[in-house]
Amino acid sequence: MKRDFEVLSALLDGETNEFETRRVLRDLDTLNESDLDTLARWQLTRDVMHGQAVRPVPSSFNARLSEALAAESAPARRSGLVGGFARVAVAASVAAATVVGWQYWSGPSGSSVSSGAPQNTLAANDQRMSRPFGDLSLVSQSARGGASTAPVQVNAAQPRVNAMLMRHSEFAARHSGQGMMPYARLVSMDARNGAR
Amino acid sequence: MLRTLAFGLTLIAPLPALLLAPPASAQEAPAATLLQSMSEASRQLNYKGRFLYQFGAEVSTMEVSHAIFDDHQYQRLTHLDGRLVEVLRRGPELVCLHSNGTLTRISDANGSPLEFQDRLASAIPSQYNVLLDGDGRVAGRPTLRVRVAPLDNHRYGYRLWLDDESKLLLKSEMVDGNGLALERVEFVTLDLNPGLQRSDFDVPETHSERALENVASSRPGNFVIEAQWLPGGFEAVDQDWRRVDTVADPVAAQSYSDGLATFTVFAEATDGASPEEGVSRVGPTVAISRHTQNGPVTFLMTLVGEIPQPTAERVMQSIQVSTAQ
Repeated sequence: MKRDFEVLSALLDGETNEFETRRVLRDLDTLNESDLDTLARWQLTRDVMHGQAVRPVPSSFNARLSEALAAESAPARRSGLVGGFARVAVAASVAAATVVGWQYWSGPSGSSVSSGAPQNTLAANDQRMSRPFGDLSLVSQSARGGASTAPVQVNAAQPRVNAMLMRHSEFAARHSGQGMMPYARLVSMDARNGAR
Repeated sequence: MLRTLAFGLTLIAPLPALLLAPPASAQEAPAATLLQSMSEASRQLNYKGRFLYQFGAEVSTMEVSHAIFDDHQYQRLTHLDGRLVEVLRRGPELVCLHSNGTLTRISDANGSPLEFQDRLASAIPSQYNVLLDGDGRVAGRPTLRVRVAPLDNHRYGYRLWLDDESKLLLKSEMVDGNGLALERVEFVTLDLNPGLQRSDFDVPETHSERALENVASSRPGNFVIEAQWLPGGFEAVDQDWRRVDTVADPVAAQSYSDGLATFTVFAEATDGASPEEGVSRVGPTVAISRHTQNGPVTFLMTLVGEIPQPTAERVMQSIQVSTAQ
């Protein structure tokens, strides 16, 4: 199991070769609940480490996926081999999307709200989106680039966000013991907002 | 197995007692004292300097001036490259000149941070391990290095370089659990006799100004923010209830601190249609917004702070907002 975790970890870091990737995605199907939890935590950790906007995959996602797969494959099952393979293929493709594409679905832009099926099925009880706080841009987003991740302009909300950052900086300056550090953070964020 | 362990312990036990304990206790005290000196120096000295502020691949240059007039702190922090942004502290008033040319004022009748005995000055939070870490050189000045390591994963660690002479913080890195720096501040020049005047802290003129007014907290309808779960060492510290001028709805704030890290939870009433929910990170700062329902009222809660995102999410799950009667 330990070795499998190593490979999983490598997969999350994009360090597996094609053969390993396929094998890991196939074996994902056999993971028990606690292993899946571990995987979700790793994915979250990895995203946080890479400074990406994240949210955890809803814990019920895997269960719902399994249910959907079971419902789908049961009537269509002809032989163990073919049925099993199809099941693996679907599971693998969805798992790959989970690993690679979750942020795209939960997206930083408003489009994710209206993006039909994935949003409805995956996040019915968790409507939070991963997207910039007010007008702030994220390190990860500037690094990722591309039109699909362009931060949303919420100029109307800017005074509100500025006010919050100011109040937080004021509190932090009183209690962090680090002098002007919280204000430096505030100035940097404000300047970055203005630059965009 | 147990016997081996016991044997191992008897072998090892005298070692820390003999070798580690004396230096550790001798070292811990100065390290803790150093942090207190750092905190006091930043509030009480007159200085002017320029520094780099960096997070991720982004670097900004800033200038800071700090002086005491009539027992009040005056501080000016100016963004030197790109857009002009300034933060000014003038005694009890905090003024921010935003990048769009507008200006926001916050006045706190409770006084300036100088009057606030911050927790760090009284005790080093027990959730951190503070160690002297040799010496170094920053802005051409000899420094002492201090490492502040968190003992759990609910807060970040710090690497601090304190000026030998003044104990001012000359370089600071906030580091995550993997030792990666999330944010770095480094002075390149420092003048401890800058000869600053009051006029050096004049508020710039702008076309648009707004104030973050304090709404009397005794007013009925004030929101009460309560966290059912907090990471160890964090305590509710400050709260207020403000609105932008008289037009906007008031927003309640409650801040929590462990003596080094701080986060603030804001609550405002919303019609529920607001699309403001989300998670965002900028350098070490995380911001999370989500809606919560309490009776007929929908609140939008926003957490802003320098804590790891999973911790922030967990705190957010435990926040309850109610309306004071």
